[in-house]
Parts: sequence; structure tokens; C-alpha cells
Amino acid sequence: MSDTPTPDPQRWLQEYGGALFGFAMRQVSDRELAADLVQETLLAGWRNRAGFRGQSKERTWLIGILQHKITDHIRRAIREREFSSQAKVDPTDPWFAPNGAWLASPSAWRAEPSGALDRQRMAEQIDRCLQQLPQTQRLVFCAREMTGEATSAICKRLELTTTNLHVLMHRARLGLRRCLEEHGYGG
Amino acid sequence: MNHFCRQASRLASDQLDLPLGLVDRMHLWLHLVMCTACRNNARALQKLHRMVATRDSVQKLDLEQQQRIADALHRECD
Repeated sequence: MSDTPTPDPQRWLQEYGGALFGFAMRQVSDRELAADLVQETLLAGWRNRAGFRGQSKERTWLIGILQHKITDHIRRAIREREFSSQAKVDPTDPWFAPNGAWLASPSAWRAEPSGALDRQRMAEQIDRCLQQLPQTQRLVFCAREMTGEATSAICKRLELTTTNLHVLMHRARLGLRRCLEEHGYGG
Repeated sequence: MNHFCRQASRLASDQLDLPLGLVDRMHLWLHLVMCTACRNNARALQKLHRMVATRDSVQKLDLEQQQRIADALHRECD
């Protein structure tokens, strides 16, 4: 009567593990965390297998669970940051003097590499630099830059004020700019 | 003397996420005309914004991670 496949987490891992991992990586840029989220997703899918009625594809259903897990994780990271002293420190302190002047003047960036191999190397360097950002900055930055989701929707989804988003994005961008410059890109 | 560079950098970043109001846009523009360092920074942030969004980054589960997940599923899904 129905061609709904028998739920089987090992088969899900074989068939959709790669897609789920790629989806998580785009939003969290952390291999360990992305793998943990995939594992939690497959376990949650197994526990809630009765809830899958086959109206959507299995893959779409699992991606939906994963997106919830990612959002929960980011919200938790933001809340923890608010309780820690981190949020009280002006996040642009390492860049500017108290009077608002640059501590080190930014120089002009060269053109972006155009060859395929150079672009690939640059993409890999961006990944490495992303991984060096503090967790909350990285998560919010990736949620915004990697999903193409509108700022207002992201703030709502992550329970974040626009000002907090701006502060985290600004800090993340300055951190990435410096990291890329240190590795020979840009300035 | 107070410098506007800190705010200019914030505004240059903010406008990549939301359009600025008229007053902020004017402040930023006037400052960027005068300040080479902030012009460099604003352009770099813009480039970075483009580079990050358009980069091709394919991330695959490695075998060890895949095995770890398979083991966890074995333990918990019977």
C-alpha cells in the first residue's frame, strides 16, 4: 500500500550522512560539532520514527530535524555568552584605541584570486580562519553569511537583537580580515 | 580628539546586513572620503562578504567520524 521505507538509522547514515554533514558544516564550520549534530539528528529521527508519515522525503524530514538542532545549539551558545563576562567586554577592543582610532591602519586589499586552484586555496583558508573565531561569533556569522537568510529572520530564529547581531558580525568580520591578511590574502 | 573610525567600521559592517538610515549613510560616506584606512577596511569587509558567500567548500564526513556515529546508533537504536 505504502512505499515508505523501513526506518533504519544505519541506512540513513549511509544514504544521507554526507548531505546532513555538509548542511551542518555550512552553518557551524566545526567538524566535531557538525558530526555530533548529525548523530543527534539520526538518534532523534529514530526515537520519533513514528512521526514520519512519508508526506515528505526521508532526507527532507531529517534535514528539518537537523535544522532544529542547529538552531537550538546556536541559541544556547548565545545565552551562555550573555551569562559570561565576554558580553561585557567591548568586542572591538583589540582593534581600536579608547578614542576610536585604529590601532593598526588597515591597508588596501589586492584583487581576489581568479584561478580555480587559487580560489580553492582561498576557500580552504577562509574555513581555517572561521574555525579560529570564538564560537558565538562563528555560529552567528555562518548563520548569516552561509544561508542567505535575511537578517530579520535570523535575529528572530536565534532570539538575538539586531544590535547584538551587528556587534557579533562586526567583530567576526574584523577577525576574519586579520586572519586572512596574516595568511597572505588581502592586504 | 575622538576618531570616528570605530563607528565607521561598525557602520561599514552593519550595512552588509541591513540598509543604513540616511544619517548613518551620510556620516559613513563623509568619513570614508577623508579616511584612507577606513576606506580600505570598508572595501575589505565588502570583499570578504562576497568571498565567503560565493566560496565552494565541500565538507565530507571522514571515515572515523562516520564509524563513531554508526557505533552510537548501534548502541542506542535497538
